[in-house]
This record gives sequence, C-alpha cells and structure tokens, in this order.
Amino acid sequence: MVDEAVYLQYLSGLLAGDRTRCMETVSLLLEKGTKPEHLYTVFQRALYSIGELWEQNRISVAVEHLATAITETLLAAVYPIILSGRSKIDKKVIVSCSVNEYHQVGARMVADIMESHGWDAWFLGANTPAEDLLLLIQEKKPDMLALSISIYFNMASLGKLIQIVRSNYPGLSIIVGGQAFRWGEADVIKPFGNVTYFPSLEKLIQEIRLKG
Amino acid sequence: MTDRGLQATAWSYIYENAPLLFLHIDSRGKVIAVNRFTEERISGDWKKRELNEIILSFSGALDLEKLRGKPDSIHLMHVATKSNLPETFRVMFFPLEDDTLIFGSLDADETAHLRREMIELNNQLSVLTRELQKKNHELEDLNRLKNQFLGMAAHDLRKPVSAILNYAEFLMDEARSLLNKEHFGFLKTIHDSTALMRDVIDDFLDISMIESGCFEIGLSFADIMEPVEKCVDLNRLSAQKKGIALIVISDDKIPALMMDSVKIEQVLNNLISNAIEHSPPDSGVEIRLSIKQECAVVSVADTGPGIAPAERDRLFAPFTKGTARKSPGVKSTGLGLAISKKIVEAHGGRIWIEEDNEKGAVFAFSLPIKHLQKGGWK
Repeated sequence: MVDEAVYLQYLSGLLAGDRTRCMETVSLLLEKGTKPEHLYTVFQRALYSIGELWEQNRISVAVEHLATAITETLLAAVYPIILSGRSKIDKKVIVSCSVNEYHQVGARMVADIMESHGWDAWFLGANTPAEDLLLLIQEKKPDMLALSISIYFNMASLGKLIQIVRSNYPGLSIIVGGQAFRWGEADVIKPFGNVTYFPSLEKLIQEIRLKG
Repeated sequence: MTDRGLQATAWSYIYENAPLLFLHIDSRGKVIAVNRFTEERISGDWKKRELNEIILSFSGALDLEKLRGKPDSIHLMHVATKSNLPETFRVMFFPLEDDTLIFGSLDADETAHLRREMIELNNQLSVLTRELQKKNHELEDLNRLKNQFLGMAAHDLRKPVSAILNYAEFLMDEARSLLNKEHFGFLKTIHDSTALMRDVIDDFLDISMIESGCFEIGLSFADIMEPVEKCVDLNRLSAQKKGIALIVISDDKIPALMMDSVKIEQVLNNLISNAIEHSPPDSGVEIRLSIKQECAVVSVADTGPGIAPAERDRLFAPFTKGTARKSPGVKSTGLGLAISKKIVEAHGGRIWIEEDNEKGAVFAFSLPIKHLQKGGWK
C-alpha cells in the first residue's frame, strides 16, 4: 500500500494542478515496485477527496476538471504496465457510464483493474447511449457489465439503464459503483437481482481475487 | 450609504475585483486607465497606446465617436491575452465628457459551451488513447509470436539445409569425374541455391534473435584489420569475376577495439559484398579506415548507381531493399543492413550512408575507441 505522506504529496500536486509533480510521485512509486492496482486506489481516493472539496465549495469546478485530466494522463502512463504484466483469463467485462454521466475516469479505472486481473475489458466511456451499450453486449457477450456514476442526479437514469439491460439480458451480472453512491444507500439497485454495488476499488479487487 | 459612498464602493470593486474588462480612453483615443482584471489579462503594455493596438479585432468599425453615441449596444471585441489565446468580450461603450469608458464581460454561455466541449473531447481522447495502447500491446504480442515462429522455423530448417549443402560440396569434390557436364551443372545449381537458402535462414535467425531481444555480443579487444582482411579475402573471388579491385586504405593507426570480431566481420562482409554486387564491372571498391571523434570509422565505397536520398534511412529497416539494381543473379532478403545496424549499435557505434557522394554509395560505421584504464574501461 502507499504511504500516507506520499498520498498527501500526490493530493497536493493534484490540487495545485501540477501534472509534473503528480507524474514524478507516480514514477517514484512505480520504481519502488508499487502495484498498478495500489496506485489506482490512490487515484480514486484523491479524486474522491477533490470531489468532496468541490461539493463543499472549497475548490472551483476548473480545479476538479484539471485534476481529472491529470489523472487520465497518469492512467495512460500506467496502463501499458498493466497490459504487459497480466495473464489473460477467459472472462469479459463491458465498462460504461450511464447517459448524461460525463465523469468517466472512475469507470476507466474499473476497466483497467479488471484487465490487470486478466479480464478482457471494453471501456465505452462517458455518456453512453443505452442502444450502443446493448449492441456491444450483444456482440461481445460479456460475463459482466460494470456501470459507473459520479453525479447523484444521474441515479434515476442509471436505474432506467439497468432496467433496459436486465429486460434484454436477464442473466447478465451487473456491478455498479462511483462517487454518487457515497451520498447514501444503493437503493436504485434493490429492485434488481444480480446487481452488486462496490463502494471502492479495493472491494472490487478483493472480489475479483476471490472469484478468480 | 450615501450616493457618493455607493459610487466609491462600486468603482473600487470594478477597479480591484470585478471580472470585467474596463478601459478608460481619452479624447485622443489613447488608453489612460484599466482595471486590475484587464491589466492581468491583456498582453503587452496598455499605457498610452491606441485602443486598436491592444485588441485583435472588433465586430465592425472601431469608431469611438459613433460607438459612445449608442451606449446600449453590445459589440464583440477580441483581445490578445497573456496566455497567447485570444479571448472574446461582449463590450459596451459609454461617454464620460470627452473620454470613453469601455466595459466588457466574457460570454458565459460560450465559456460553458467550450468547457463542455473540452471535457467531451478529453473523454473521447482518453478512450481512444486507451484503445490505441491496447492495440499496440496486441501488435507487440503478435510481433513476438512472429519472431518466435521465425526463429523456430529457421532453427529447424538450418540443420537439413546444412546437410544438403555439405553433401553437395562433397559430391562436387568427390564425384566430379563420374558426372557429365550437364549433371555437374545440376549439382552446382543445387549447391549454390542451398548456399543462398542457408544465408537466408541465417539472416532470419539473426533478425528473430535481435527483435526478441536475445541478441548477445561477446566483447574483447581485437584488431579491426583482422576482420577487414578476412572479408577482403572472402570476397576477392566474386570481385575478380567482375574485374573489381578491392582497395584497403588506412588513414590512421587504429588501436585495438572492444568488439565481437565475428559479428563485425558479418557487418564488413555485408557491406563489401553489397558494394561488389552494386558496382559496375572493371571498377573498384574502397575500404577506408580512419579515426574521427574518439571512434574508429570504417567506410566502404562503391562506384555503383548510389542511393537515393529518400531511401537512406529506410534501407536499415528489416526486409527493405533499395531501388538500385544489383548485378544479375544476385538475391537478398533485405535483412543484411538491418542486422548490421543492430550489431554496430550493440557495440555503441553508428552506421550510416554518406551524403554528398558524387558517384556510387558510401556506407560507413563507427565503433568507439575505449582505453584501458586502472579499474575498468573508459
């Protein structure tokens, strides 16, 4: 796991919009042998902190967007390491954001983490129309669908999306997560079976390890 | 608060804090004051400059007399900012006695629209980058598989091909008197074709080793003249057949070099045989040795058709052949120069084609001269 002082150093770089400092911290952690999945938990924790600061009006929306853009750059730097270090298994996942959800970095991290554990992951990105998602499910026949949501107001559209997918693919395992769920219980998934909420990347990693 | 107090507070806010463009223009059209926001925003010095000197463009004619006569009209003004990006302000012109006051604000809708577009583009870029990285990784995997297959196939073919070559050589030596001229010709074709096949297989083996990162060189101090002379001897017969003279010139005394003599011989052999192949009959191939910038430089010059400038870099890539015509009957895989490049680079050297050569082609490579010092190599 990553040292608290290093995490705070990374967070301050992110808040300052200092891409170079963040990249240096990540490079140093990689040199020390930190696993990409542990780095990803740092990225998630820092982005959640920044999200909270934004919600509390302590930072501007520009700072939040810059932090996201920096994180995406870092993910692009770490991703090749994930690809070269993984052993493929015969499992497929489609990772997507719901309609109107423009925060895709969390979903991207889920896709990368699944790939680091050998899954084949298709990452559809932000604001994916339901029709596009259904087409890809039909084409790829995944073992799992992962849906991410960051803005609480998009919870209803997530519910609708799950309903559409469930009616077309009743047996498909669905997992959900994202910062929007931090406001309360995952009530939106209660009406559906075989839909699991993961509160963090750590929990997801534990589950993937457990089920192989 | 009195009217005067209210005015003072409002002006203080506009001057110090408001995110508003504010310019005070005198009757001669010169800027005499700006607020803090404007000062921090616009590039260059604003003092005593004409308004049209500090703006990029304006929607219509910049006629202050007319504009201040319609203070309720909004106009677009583009300003060069310190970030080197032009910014658009929605501005209004107000008269103040003979002077003009200009107030401008950023178009909030436009800014919001741009931000949204940027986020969407950034998201798309991120998704595409990820896909590209994944495809690159898949290509690397396929290339690795290709090298494995190439290496395995070449390795498995080398033994039987060597056996055919050895038996063909044996028959050419021992059974010559038993065969008529035609049958001996068949045997010679079998021998020559098999020799070519073995060379191709050797190239495949080399390139698969190089590309899979398993290429190793064994360095020790050696005299570069040894492989040079060996290669000259080896190629003398084929040169003589075309009436080509092989000339070795040593401009400097080259000290012993840290090198893998066998591999350097392979490079030299490749360059000299290429030079012979491309040279016209009854010409010469010059092999020159010199010292330049702490490096031993070996160049091989022919008097053939030369190399087109556009081909110079491409020639060192695997499976690439130049457009220059070789002598009839000469075949190659297009791997020789790629292998030579890797060998030279593994020695810390460089290989290149000389530019500005009037006639023919000059291939050269350099090897660093390392001095023996106490405690290691310099």
